[in-house]
Amino acid sequence: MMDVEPDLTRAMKTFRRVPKYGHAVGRVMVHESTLLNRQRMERLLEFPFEESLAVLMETEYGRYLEGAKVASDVEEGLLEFLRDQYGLLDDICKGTFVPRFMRLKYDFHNLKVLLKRRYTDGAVEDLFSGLGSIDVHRMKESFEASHAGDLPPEWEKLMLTLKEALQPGGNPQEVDSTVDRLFLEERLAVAKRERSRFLVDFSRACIDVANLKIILRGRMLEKEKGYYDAALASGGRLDRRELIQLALDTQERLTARLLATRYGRMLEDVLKTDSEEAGLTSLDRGFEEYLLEKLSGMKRMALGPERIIRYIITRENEVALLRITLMGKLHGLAPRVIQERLSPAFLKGVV
Amino acid sequence: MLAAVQVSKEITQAATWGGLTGFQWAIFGAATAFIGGGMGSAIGITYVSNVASGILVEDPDKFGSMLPLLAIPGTQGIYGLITAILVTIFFNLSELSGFSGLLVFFACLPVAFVCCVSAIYQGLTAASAAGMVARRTEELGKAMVLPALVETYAVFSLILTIYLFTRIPK
Repeated sequence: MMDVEPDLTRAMKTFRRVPKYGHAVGRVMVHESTLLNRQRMERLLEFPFEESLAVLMETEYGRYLEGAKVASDVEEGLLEFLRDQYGLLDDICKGTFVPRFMRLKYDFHNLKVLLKRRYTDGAVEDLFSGLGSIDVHRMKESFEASHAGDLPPEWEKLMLTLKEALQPGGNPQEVDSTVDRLFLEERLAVAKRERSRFLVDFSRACIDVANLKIILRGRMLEKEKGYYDAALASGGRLDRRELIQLALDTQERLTARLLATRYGRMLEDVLKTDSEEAGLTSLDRGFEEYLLEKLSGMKRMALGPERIIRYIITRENEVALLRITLMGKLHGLAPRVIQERLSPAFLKGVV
Repeated sequence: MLAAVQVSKEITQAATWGGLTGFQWAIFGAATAFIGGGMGSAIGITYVSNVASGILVEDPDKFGSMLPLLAIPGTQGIYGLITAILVTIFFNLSELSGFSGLLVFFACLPVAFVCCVSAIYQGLTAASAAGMVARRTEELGKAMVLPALVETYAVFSLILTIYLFTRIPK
């Protein structure tokens, strides 16, 4: 994909996108007006649980949280709300790859739960997410048979890779890293199928961010080349082979090379700090902010799939904020303690 | 020198230019102006309608506020129509020389091209502005300003075309 498209090509793409996504964007525009604003979020933080629920009764969440008294009611209500949001997404984006792009993370979450079940033999039924595009039972059957079966054709390759990773004596942590890698690569493939330049860029940025985290953590734990081979995803802007070489190289060369990349600014603190833990915490925050910055870039793409995706991601963030806030209140935590638990990056995402 | 003036006079007064009569050139210009404006308006309205239909599915009460935004890219089609009619009013087509007919054709081009392109972009701008109205109906006034700015250039093109008509020898 070219970095800079000729103006005419870009303009033609815009003209083609409007008839394809215009209706969906129109519907999303109305739903955007119901997102919780900062004032409402701050009010929620201040009030006790019952009053917070009363505040939420005036919003889209009212119907879902009505009569909620215990944690499971809140959890169920918020999940139901998200299910309906994804239902809206399926409805407005029929015939596009947008719902698949968004639901993919839940499919891979379910796949990880299946892996967990295999390794721990524990009860994991509660951990499955109902937001994936693939039915959990179908996935279970295919997973147990180690082939794609009824799953979409692109899962055949994924299942084969997993089968190789799941050889007896394999390390569960490495299998987990392989699943993460497969997720990032598959999401990039879906973005390419959707032919959205922004989604491709966003997926690539996510791959780079994940790869950099793996390298920095891997060096801390003194991992071998095999670990990087299994965990590093391809398709990012930073070349995978070069990253593997760098991961095994001296600290000076690694620092010099990474600082010269587009991620240099956010890596500066991490690479120059003496405390590894403090460095990794600031790294997580830096990456979160970087990805949110990318998401806020979607605001400018007024009439494409980006606006729809941004809406769904903002809703997911909102639900995460509400879950932490309401659960905190149910457990009697002070507003200040709850606020500390809310990621500042998440709060920034609130409109 | 005299011969050159004579040749120039013969060219401007010849009944045909490039194989077409003045009447044919003028009609060609009028049709081009309308096709450009009409096509642009149709595409522009389609864009804003796509978005507006989505908004109206969720909130049918917004129909009244959406209507001006839906209609605004349609004005370029009207400018094309006005230009086409003005060609027949300004000029006596049956007596128009080939050269004057050619000038009429060129004078119609600003409306044909500027209206076509501006209507398409106005449709995109109006579709974005519809988002403002979807969020707050009272923002309609501000939302209308954005596509209205695009309209300015369509109006300028119509003014230029009419001015050029007045300068063409009849």
